[in-house]
Amino acid sequence: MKKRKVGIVSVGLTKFMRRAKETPKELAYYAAKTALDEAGITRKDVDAAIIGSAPDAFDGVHQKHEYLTDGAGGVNLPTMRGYVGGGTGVFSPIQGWYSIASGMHDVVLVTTEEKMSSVLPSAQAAFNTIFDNMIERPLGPNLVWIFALEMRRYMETYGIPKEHIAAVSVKNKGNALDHPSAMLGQKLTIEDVLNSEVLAEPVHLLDISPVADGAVSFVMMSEEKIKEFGISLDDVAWVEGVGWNVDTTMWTNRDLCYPKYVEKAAKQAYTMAGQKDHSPEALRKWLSFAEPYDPFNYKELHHLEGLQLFEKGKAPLAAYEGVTARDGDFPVTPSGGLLGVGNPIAAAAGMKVAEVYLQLTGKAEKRQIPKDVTRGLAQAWGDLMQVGTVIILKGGRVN
Amino acid sequence: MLPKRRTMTDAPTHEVRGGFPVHFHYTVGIVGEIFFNGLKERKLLAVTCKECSKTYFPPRMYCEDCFAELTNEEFKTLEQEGTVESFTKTYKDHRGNSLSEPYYLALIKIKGSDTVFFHKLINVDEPNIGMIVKPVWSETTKASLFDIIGFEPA
Repeated sequence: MKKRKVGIVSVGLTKFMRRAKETPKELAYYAAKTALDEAGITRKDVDAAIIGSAPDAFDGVHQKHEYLTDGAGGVNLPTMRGYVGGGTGVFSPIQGWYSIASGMHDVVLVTTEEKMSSVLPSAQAAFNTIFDNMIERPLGPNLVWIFALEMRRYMETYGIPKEHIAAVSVKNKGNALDHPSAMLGQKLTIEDVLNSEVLAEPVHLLDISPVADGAVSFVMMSEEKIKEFGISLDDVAWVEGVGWNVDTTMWTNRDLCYPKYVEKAAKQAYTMAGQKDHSPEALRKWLSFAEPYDPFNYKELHHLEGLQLFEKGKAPLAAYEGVTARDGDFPVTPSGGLLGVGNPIAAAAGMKVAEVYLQLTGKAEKRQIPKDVTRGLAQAWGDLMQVGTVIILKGGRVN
Repeated sequence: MLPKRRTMTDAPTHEVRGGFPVHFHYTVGIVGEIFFNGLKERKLLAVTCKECSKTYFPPRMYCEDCFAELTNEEFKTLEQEGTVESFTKTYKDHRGNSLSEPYYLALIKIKGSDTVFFHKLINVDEPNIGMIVKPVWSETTKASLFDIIGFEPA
């Protein structure tokens, strides 16, 4: 089947914050309305709406998609929620892509939203319910624990010093100082990260992203509609590749050092984009930068390796040496990421896709990477640490 | 068609008890604050979309049709009168327990509004669709949905 060319033409972001006064619907509306206004279109021009939101237990509304429909501009449209946990924010624009590439729709409004402050006593109490009822939940697992297990194994296997992992928190929280949506932009030292409160060894407070409220929307269009609306190619980022992959739910049995599912998702996206050489050197040359998922600092590194952008066990030193700084050889998470901007689950990954768009269209303001950028990748990860979702965008005038 | 599974029976089984141990504190929202504060003053506040003239009660931040933002519009006080659009008499609660006193729930269109409000119908024996009703206010109001005890025949 011949696939149509699809572009993101605008984004809309709310501020990310600990506890927004707005309802989830109102957060969705701010983002969706901003994206429509930025694109210079109205809801009447929209053919379909897509809603991305993670567990219902955060906002506290079961079947959150039906609740969010009006705020996301989806009333009386073919509106559908895709849901792959933390991977949702990248999967939602992938849904937008196939709705348009297939020829079904021309103009799609994609909204990712999360209001995590509603849930009590904590988001981790909600996360407890994603584990197996019989053999895991009686022990009271939460995500901090299971990431502590994964992080320790990753460090041991490759002999990674904690300083190298801490460098990711310093970089991302520092980058977030330049992001208008950010809630935790901070100028930190590696010592600050190492000396922060211990949550579950080896995970400390500053290794982790904050729970948050927020929403991010996109307007996506077919090439034909972009021409019809007279939208400048300077404002467009084309979807060049997409990929997603789900591993077994038995998280205990997976390779704790290497996210195979991210590799599979990434290779699907690279192949679709026509990039045959999947070696780190070739990929870092082909891509200008990346926005991998960073709910924990070591996950950015883990994911860079799964994405084939660095050899196994080699990403931490690159981060420590500044290779992945915004002005480094291969910028990673110039936005400030989940660690710095905040982690309203689905919206956080939406923010990463938005960052790729903003960098490629030269609209990243103080965050703009100080070199020509032609192509960027966003990746998210979720469900029970088992899904990888990848999207690759290129600039509107890039062949 | 059916697999030959002898394990598929209704027999008693070993169980592990669990639950979803979460509860919530919901923000009422930007426009919700206006609506609930209106109830505290025994007022029914609504907002009209300038673009399509649709009036929302309870009010909203945005028009779901034309997507205009309504936050900056003037919130108007509706008359305390509504029409019953539909009703039901409920005999059981959501746990399946029988109610000692069955009661009426209704969909009520407040005069001047284009949307329909869900609340209790009280002090009525035989309601009918089209019946004109008015809110019965609680003695002390505290910006809650139950500042209105229910609606009764006007």
